[in-house]
Amino acid sequence: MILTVNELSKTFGEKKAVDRIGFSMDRPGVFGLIGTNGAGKTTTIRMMLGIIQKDSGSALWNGKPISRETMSFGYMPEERGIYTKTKVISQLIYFGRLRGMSHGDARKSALSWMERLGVLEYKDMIAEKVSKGNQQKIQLLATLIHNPDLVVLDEPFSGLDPVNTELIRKLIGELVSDGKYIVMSSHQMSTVEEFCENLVMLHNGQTILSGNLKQIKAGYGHTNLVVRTEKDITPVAQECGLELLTKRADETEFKIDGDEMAETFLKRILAEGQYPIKYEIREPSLHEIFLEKAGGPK
Amino acid sequence: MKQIITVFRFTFAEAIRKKAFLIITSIVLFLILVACAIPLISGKISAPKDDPSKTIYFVGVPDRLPGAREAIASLYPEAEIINGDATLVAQYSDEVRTDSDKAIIELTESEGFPKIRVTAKTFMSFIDVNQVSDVLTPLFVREEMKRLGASDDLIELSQMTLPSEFIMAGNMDLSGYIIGIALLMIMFFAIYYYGYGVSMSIANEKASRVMETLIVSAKPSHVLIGKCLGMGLLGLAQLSAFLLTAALGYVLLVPKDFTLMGMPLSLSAFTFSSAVLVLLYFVLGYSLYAVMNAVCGALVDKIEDLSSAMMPVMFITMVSFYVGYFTAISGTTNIVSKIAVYVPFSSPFVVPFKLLNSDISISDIVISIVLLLTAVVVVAWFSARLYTASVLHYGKRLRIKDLYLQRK
Repeated sequence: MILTVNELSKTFGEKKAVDRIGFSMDRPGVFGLIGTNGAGKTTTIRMMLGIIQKDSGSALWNGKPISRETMSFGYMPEERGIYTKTKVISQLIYFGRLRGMSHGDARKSALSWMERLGVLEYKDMIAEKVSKGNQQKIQLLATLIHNPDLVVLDEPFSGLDPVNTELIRKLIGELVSDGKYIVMSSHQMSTVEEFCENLVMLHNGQTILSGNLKQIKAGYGHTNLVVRTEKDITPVAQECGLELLTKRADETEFKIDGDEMAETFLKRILAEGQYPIKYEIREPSLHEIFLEKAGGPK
Repeated sequence: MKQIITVFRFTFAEAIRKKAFLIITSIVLFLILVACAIPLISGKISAPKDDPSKTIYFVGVPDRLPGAREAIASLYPEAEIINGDATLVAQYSDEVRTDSDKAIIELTESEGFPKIRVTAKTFMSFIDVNQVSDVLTPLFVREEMKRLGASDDLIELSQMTLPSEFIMAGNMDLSGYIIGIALLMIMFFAIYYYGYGVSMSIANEKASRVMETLIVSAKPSHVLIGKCLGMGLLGLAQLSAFLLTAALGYVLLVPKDFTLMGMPLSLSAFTFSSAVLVLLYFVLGYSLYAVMNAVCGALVDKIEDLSSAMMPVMFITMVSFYVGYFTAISGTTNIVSKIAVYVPFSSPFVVPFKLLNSDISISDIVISIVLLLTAVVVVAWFSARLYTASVLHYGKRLRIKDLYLQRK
């Protein structure tokens, strides 16, 4: 199975919401669509799934245009919504039936997913009486009830508490193991970094970066140095030409030009009798890459 | 088709078990039974009583009108006639001012003739000055002719009224008229109320943000049709319950000899074919307004904005209803009435009344149904496109022009 998104574009009035975005997935995994609010992530997803009309380009699943009729996909929108006055099980069966399942299959699948996500006890409850976190899980169940091959999650961790975040994180891993193709949009770079092998970075509708995350990072080389020492080593770092990035409670992060600069700095602090508790040379985070590409504050 | 049925079943099931729906239906059913029982209850309450319920102070000198008191007593058998004192008229007036069951009849002289003056609390009082005059004038004429020496034959001739008869050449009778007006009201209520239900249901889905999940699961046009059908069946079920209860109440509670304004109430105007056509007009009329209301529901992101979004459709509904209503109550056959039969927005209100009163030709019915059906298809097609364009729009409310441009 292969997902191919090719040159999708959309303009609303005078504003170019998405400009010729393209990417593909040829094996199960998580693909990241990242960008700030208003970057064009949701519009890309909606065009891809045929929810809104695209101006140009194509979105294909195994060579066929993606639509409700041609394939089985699940989509969890960023704006969560459920029928608040309806029983949880009734609305899940409803969404299952809309996706072509029989009443029995939809019920069976709903109960199985509810058990998996720990919300089985709420099945006969009116949805508005269930906590917000559990309502989000119900929304996710409505996305997965028909066991879709392609799962599109728009900001899946938005508004979740740490316990539910962990649960959804685990579930995404399980879905990938089950062979699902997941397209995940997020403005939380750490989330994408954790799951996505490949990504597209959007800014004001334009693709500012795309490709394999490891390769992108490798392309930047070693740019950051994290050091933890007993005494303040910032003056020495400045003398060695290191740029202070962040000063945290127990460690300091510097920007370096390369491994040589880090080595010189290490020698200096050792010569001064400072033995680092932590000394980590690393590639830039996705967050830093994004800020650099999108022109945000360093 | 499967998706339409699924949306239809879900919409119907959700709406029918809502507490508000169940409570309102129960209250209306109870009120219908009470309304049917009113003739029975009022018959028992207003059964002949020994004590008169009204009082008439009869003031004046009836020398030239012998038998006037008796004539008034027979005109108002429920009233006690009390010979009043002319000096106490002011006191009687005070009583009449606060009690609608009391009245004063004064007979005075004016330019050589008796003058009748009736005092009552309001113009809606039980006593009518014209009725009093109609009874007392022949008495006066008889006495005056006797005094002037007229023969008995001449006096009898002066007292007679010509025999008269009113023949209705058309089929409209009072029952058909009243039931027609009632049906027009019911059509308006049903089309407006259940159409409003469609827009409210869609606005709720949009406000609760469930819409996006819904339309990735089903085509927007399928959602629209399923929803309209679901609310339509709900309306039909509720109306049927009301009508069946009314029919049962009519059979079981309304006395057999019950009359309305002196005429027996009859359902003879309801033939099988007229009932089928009325049902067809309800279904088509509801469909036409429901799809327009659906677009109104899809235009707003907050429930509180729904009323203003519905204004254009509400305006069309009200104008169409009043065209139907005034056509019915005035019985006019003017050009507006004729055009209203063909205009799809007004025909569901106008034609059922005319059907029950046999005031419409078969060719007019056929043309009207064809035009209404065409309008339903065209408006539904157009609404489905506007609905699709608007359901995902949040923020500043879209204008119809914007929707049209985005309708792809």
